[in-house]
Amino acid sequence: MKAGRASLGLALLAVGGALLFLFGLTSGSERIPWGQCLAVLFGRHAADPVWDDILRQIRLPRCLAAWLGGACLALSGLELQTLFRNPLAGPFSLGISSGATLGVALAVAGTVGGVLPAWLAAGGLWAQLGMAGSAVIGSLAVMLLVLAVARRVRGNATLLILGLMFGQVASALVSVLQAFGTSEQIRAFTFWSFGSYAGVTWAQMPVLAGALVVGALLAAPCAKHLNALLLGWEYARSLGVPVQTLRLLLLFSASLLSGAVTAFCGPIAFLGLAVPHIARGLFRTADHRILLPACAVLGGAISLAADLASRLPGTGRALPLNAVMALVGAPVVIGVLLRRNSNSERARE
Amino acid sequence: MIPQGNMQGTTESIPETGRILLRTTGLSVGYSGRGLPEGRRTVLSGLDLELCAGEMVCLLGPNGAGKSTLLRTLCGLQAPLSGGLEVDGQNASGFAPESWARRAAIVLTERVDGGGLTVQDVAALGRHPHTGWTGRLRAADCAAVENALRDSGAWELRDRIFDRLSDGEKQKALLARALAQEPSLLLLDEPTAFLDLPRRVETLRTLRRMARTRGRAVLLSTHDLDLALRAADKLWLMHPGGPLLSGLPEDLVLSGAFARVFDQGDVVFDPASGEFRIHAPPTRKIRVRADAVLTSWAARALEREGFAATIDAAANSNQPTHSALPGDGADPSLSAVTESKSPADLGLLEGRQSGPDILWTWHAAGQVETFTTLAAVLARLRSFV
Repeated sequence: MKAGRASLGLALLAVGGALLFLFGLTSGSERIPWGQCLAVLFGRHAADPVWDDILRQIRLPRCLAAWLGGACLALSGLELQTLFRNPLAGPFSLGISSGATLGVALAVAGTVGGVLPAWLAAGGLWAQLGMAGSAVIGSLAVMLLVLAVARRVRGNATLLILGLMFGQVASALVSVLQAFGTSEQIRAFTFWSFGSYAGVTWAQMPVLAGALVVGALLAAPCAKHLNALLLGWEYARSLGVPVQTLRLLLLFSASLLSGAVTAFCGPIAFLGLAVPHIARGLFRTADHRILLPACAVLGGAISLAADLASRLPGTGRALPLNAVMALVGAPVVIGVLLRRNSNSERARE
Repeated sequence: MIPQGNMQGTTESIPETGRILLRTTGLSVGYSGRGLPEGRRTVLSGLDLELCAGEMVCLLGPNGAGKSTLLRTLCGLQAPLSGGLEVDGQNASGFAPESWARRAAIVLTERVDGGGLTVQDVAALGRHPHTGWTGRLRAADCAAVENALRDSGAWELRDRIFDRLSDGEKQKALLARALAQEPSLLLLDEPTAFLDLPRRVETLRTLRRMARTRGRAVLLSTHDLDLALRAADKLWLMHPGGPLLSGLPEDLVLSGAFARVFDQGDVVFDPASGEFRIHAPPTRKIRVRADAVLTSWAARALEREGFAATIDAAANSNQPTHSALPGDGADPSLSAVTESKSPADLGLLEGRQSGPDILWTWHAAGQVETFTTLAAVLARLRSFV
């Protein structure tokens, strides 16, 4: 893959993402013309004040959250796959999203129980930062656990089963916390745990965007080292990679990216796992210097498309976002498994 | 069995051979960590070693002698427990990972998968310590990668996906990556382990040529004693508990050091042939009379079965004599195995080419039996015993 062709591919994906974004703004229960959407995007008011409200209060934050969330999850998935040297790693499959959920649940329970300061539940930027922070801490905790265990187990599937188990334990703890919550909290939590971009507010947007920027900035200097890591930690070290620093950077970046998304959008399945594989296939490369930006723009675009599909435009009905994600993601996972099997068989011959 | 002409070094101009690239003084290697008695486990100690430019050294020793530990220490993958380690004339104790990577490259014995990288990408990873934080390859880097691919014989494979290569091809790609690092020291942990004999000979030849033409020091561990004896400039012999012996392969054989390290139980090193024998001392012998080729192969079959095979005195006469009396002829032993007591004589085996067939005639105790294969001979001897 030549650098020129990679840039062209990235540009095309970015344009595709922008088009999906616009399409997301126009479609819904109320059809709004493209021109009106563009007008609102560029800061003017729409002809109809109702449209203006719908766009500003509902569709714009939702589409923005979908794009940011997709980019975050895809980047985090790519980092995890290379960090764990496991093609089936991802924020959801390793139980890291469940860790984030637990972090949020603990924070909420803490404010209700008076252990944590009340401003955490008050809304506003500091509260949003607090929520994201607890999710990131939850993600990081599960990731450290998985990493500690990963050194003792062989085989990709074993690690995933362990990730699943950690996720189950985290979910069980969340259920315990729920039992002590108010009915209103339980309803809000249940809605949130389905995973959706619809509930993201403008107050949360700077936190989400900030997570993406910081996570990407942490990942960028790792790109070269991530390539060396494809051959394993030993070879990476022998090539001069500062492995301890790299491990910490990746862990922090991946927790930040997936934790922030989970805090505001709930656990979103498959996206982080599937997008890196689609990017590798589209760009025909394993080079992280191309894959990192590719995952960001492709993750944003796919996430927008999935959110659009879940709204079932024109029908007046809607699907859970994670159902759409599973329909797209599960075949990718199956494809990866089949290809790896045939590869190892070919090697054995 | 190994074409020796292939092993001779090239006569091209040799850049700075003889310069000392690695020197250890009183080096101890091993592991440290909690859970070990006294916090450490010393595998080897008191090592005073030198590696020179242009030299290929084979590291030999039984399993568990610490070959991998030593190699990993000499390229900075693990820290020495104590003692001095100098690479390129500089004290290596303060080296950052990147400084190590510019001076020493290693090819490990574990099989790895390449996460979808092409062979070219894998080789280009060797430039890692030489490039900036973006990892962009300059013209000099591209030239180094190309040289490495050509030197290692991976040039034809460069566009293939690493994961889909055979073991031998992967080895070449990983070697190319190590060469692209342009290291002073090239270390290889059992590079011949998964290869067939021609590939093994080729690998060692490549490494030797590379050591000479590029002025690097090559150190490789191997279990391929025969190949190491023929190909190495120097051997480092290790055995658990003993000192590491260094020297010209032939000197180590003649001084008996080689036999001391590797003789174990029934496995005995034979200095005359440079091979190992895996037999218990024979209790029975059989005399063989045939031409040189038939004798040699018959002797192999018989020795495997536990018989001492001796050349019959009349081996070169064209008229077969049938006087196969037990105990006649004091023959030079073919078997290198020391015979503790005189083995019982089982008669004479005579081999003869007759048209396309080979006829084996066994004369013993007044009987004469004829067979067409050695398998039949062995079957008869087994039932006789």
